[in-house]
Amino acid sequence: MPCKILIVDDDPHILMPLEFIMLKNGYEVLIARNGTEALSIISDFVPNLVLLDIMMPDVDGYDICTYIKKQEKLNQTKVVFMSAKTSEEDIKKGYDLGASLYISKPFSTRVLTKQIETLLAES
Amino acid sequence: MSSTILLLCATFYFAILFFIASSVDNNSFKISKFISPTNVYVLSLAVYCTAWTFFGSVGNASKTGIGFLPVYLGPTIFFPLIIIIWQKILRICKEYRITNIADFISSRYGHSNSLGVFVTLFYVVGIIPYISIQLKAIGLCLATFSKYNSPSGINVSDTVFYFSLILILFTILYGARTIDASEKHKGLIAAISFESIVKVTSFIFVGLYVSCFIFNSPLEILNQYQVSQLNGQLPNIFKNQFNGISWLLILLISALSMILLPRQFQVAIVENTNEELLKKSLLRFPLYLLIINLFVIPIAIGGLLKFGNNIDPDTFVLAFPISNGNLWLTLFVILGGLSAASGMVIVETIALSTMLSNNLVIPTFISKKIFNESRGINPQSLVLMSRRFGITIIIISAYFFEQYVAEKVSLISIGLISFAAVSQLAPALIGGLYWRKATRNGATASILVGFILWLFTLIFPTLEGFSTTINSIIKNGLFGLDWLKPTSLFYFSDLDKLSHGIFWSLFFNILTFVGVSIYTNRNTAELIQSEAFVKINNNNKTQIATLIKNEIVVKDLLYVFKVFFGEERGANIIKNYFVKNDIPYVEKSLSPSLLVNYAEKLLAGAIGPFATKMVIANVSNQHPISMNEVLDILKENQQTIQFNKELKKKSAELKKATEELKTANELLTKLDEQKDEFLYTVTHELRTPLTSIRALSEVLFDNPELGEIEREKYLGVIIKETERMTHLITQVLNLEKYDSGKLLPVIKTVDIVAMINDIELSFSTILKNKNIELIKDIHKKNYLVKIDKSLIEQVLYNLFSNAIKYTKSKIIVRIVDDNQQITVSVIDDGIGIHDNQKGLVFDKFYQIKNKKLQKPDGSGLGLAISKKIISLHHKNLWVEDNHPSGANFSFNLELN
Repeated sequence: MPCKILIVDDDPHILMPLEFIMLKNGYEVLIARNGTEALSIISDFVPNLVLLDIMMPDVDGYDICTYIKKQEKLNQTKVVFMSAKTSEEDIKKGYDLGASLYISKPFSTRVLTKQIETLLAES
Repeated sequence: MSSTILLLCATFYFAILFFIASSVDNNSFKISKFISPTNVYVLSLAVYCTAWTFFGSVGNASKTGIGFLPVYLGPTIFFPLIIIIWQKILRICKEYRITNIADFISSRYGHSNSLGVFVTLFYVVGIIPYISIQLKAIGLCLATFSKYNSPSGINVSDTVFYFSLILILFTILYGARTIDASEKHKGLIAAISFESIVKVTSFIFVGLYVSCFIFNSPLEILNQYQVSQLNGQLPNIFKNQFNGISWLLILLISALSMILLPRQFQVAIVENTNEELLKKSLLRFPLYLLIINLFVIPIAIGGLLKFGNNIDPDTFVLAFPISNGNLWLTLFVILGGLSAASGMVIVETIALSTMLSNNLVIPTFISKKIFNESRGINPQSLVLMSRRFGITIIIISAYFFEQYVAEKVSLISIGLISFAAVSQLAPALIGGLYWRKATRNGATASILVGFILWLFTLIFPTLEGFSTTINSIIKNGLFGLDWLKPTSLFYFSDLDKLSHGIFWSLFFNILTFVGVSIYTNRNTAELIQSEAFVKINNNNKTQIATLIKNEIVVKDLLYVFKVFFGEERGANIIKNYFVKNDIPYVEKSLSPSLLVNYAEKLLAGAIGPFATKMVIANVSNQHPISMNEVLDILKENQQTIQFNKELKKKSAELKKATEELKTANELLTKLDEQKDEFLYTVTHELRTPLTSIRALSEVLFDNPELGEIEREKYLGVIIKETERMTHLITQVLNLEKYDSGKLLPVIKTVDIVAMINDIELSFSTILKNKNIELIKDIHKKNYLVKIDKSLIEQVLYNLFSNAIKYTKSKIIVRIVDDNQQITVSVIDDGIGIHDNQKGLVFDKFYQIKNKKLQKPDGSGLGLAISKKIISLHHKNLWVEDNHPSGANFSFNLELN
């Protein structure tokens, strides 16, 4: 069964390449353009991994992560933050909330692919 | 006894004295084995008792009963107080190397050389009469001797002259053989103490002789006296003697004289080797005074009984043994009298000559620069010569005074007049010791006033008979004014001449001293010195570590000393050092380290060890010191109100400045934080487009099989994102340009209406696509404004694109005429801006920071830049209230 990935980012220009790459790697992909959209589809989708932008207008990535960690259904879901916020506190906060990985923007798609592969292989 | 034997004995006696003095001086005789230092000290203090005591007391007692006593009661009663004052004086003198009273006073009042000279001359004038009465006493001895041994072959006045010469010789030998930096004369003190023993012993012997030998007992003397009183043979000398005020005044000036007489200053202070001796002499000195006065009354009354009015009562002491043919006692008495007289003359003259030398001679010679030129004149011998010269002059003058003036007046009255003279220095010296505010002007004025009154009330009346003018002044008062009579000023005639003179002179003296001191100010040197003197007990540590490595050129050290000790005295101190140590004085050479040590010690006394270190350090580094720098140092030590006020004022000013600095610092910190935040946001905003550019580029690279459409799409985005970054960077740089003030708008006259039309054209496609209506609410065809066209273009562009972004259906552009200016408004009907955000929208990156808004297309800096541009035109851009909804951005422009 292919793994399911949810990509959440309010910048469509980032969603574009990410969606393409994840699809090319054989994952089942859903995208959400903002936090609200993400929350509405995540419980049904139950992704294995969520690629989460932090800075979003309505609900930010931290809140979504917190939500995921609270959900029984999503206890297997791994959270990967991607953000231009790169200060120590931000990164620490991300890991404190239970993220498996915190990636700084801009990132390398090749590296990201490999990291996701490893993460999904663990479970 | 022949006169030859007398002269031989006298010479032999002086030889013994000289032998004692020189043995002690070269340490071949340790005096401490025989007498304790305290006793030596007390006996040296006993130089207070002169021929006046030895002969004059008896003479006085025979006329006034116990009227001779106050002169001795004064020092006795006030002795504890005197010791306290001496202690302070002693400490000061030791600290500042002061060796005579004139230096003491001049030093206290800011190293005033003129005051020093004044005081010296004053002392000379006041003390010469006193010296002369010693010579007179010798003369009396000789005259008495001749009387009972006629023909004796003695010409009294010649003998007195030769005796004066002998005194000059011995004074020079005792006191001006060499120059000692400490001015101590151990041998002299030993000789003086010996003399004190001789005079008291011989007086007691005579007393016993008279009381128990001539008369059977003292009681018998009294009985015989009472009998003769009743018989009317002798007056009652014991009545009418206790004039309260008179006694009080004499008590006072006697006590003051213990402090102010040069010879007392010399033995009590200068020759003092140990401060403890002061306290130890508390009981012993009054005891000496008691012992020496024990037999005065018996001898006086006995003399009256035996000799009546036939001889001068001042000579009773000698007359008794000599009239009875008792040779040994006669000799002893003469030696006693000689001791009393010579002791006084020698010590007093040495003290006076030191004053003369230090205050008159050395300064004069230094200023004449004979000192510097080695024309075969040895500087050291120059000082010695001046001392010897002074000694000679003083004693010769005393001789002449004795010959022509003293003959007429009793011993005691001259003595008391001298006491009255030196007492005039009391306010200046003692006042200066305890009252910081005492000024040099006050001291000078007080001494002057006292001196003039002393002259007028006490000296002047004795000149009666010299001229008719003098006579008429004495009789009728100065200028014929009754109340200016020398003996009853201001009609105050209840007192005897002496008390009257003492009273008025001291009264006006003190008044002047206090009054002038209050109304004059101390100069800098006085400020330092008054502190140093009055607060001597507070300065504990004056030892400072020797600055071994300080190399100071003599010239610089000289400069320092001139600054601190006054032009003349400062130079004198330095130059004296070279003189006394026989070192050639070369200004350009390095100062000998001992001199530097000495200099530091002196300076430390004046300005404290810390300041001294700084000063010396400065001078060693060739840093010229200004008085201002020194005063800054001293401000901490000074307790004058003046300095306190200034300090307080400066403190308040400083506080204010600190507050201002604090505020400025807070502002800077805030701005710094803002800058950091700005920087963070800008870099953050650059990362986002970079993310997509990178991701998309990687996709394109890794997937060559991608189709045309996909490629086009992705590359299009990459290009767009690049544009976005460029736009942001441009905006940031523009904003920086406007903020820093580097950019100045180029003002030309432009038609704003035309500009708006251009904008409308460039946005026409989007307007059509989004179905937005543009309404132009403009009443004139042109509005000519004074603007920078390209900058205002940016503003219009920014406001327009914002409006297009947020509007629902329409955009209104309105121009309102407002006298000298127009108001341009761009209005949309979107969601509008909340009241409390009206100011904040212009913040940099407002849209980004405010998460509630949509992700912007622009840089987020548009409004900030627009606002800045408008303010560069000295106008304002703001958000206006808009009804029913939507945003209204308005700005002013200046009309042509």
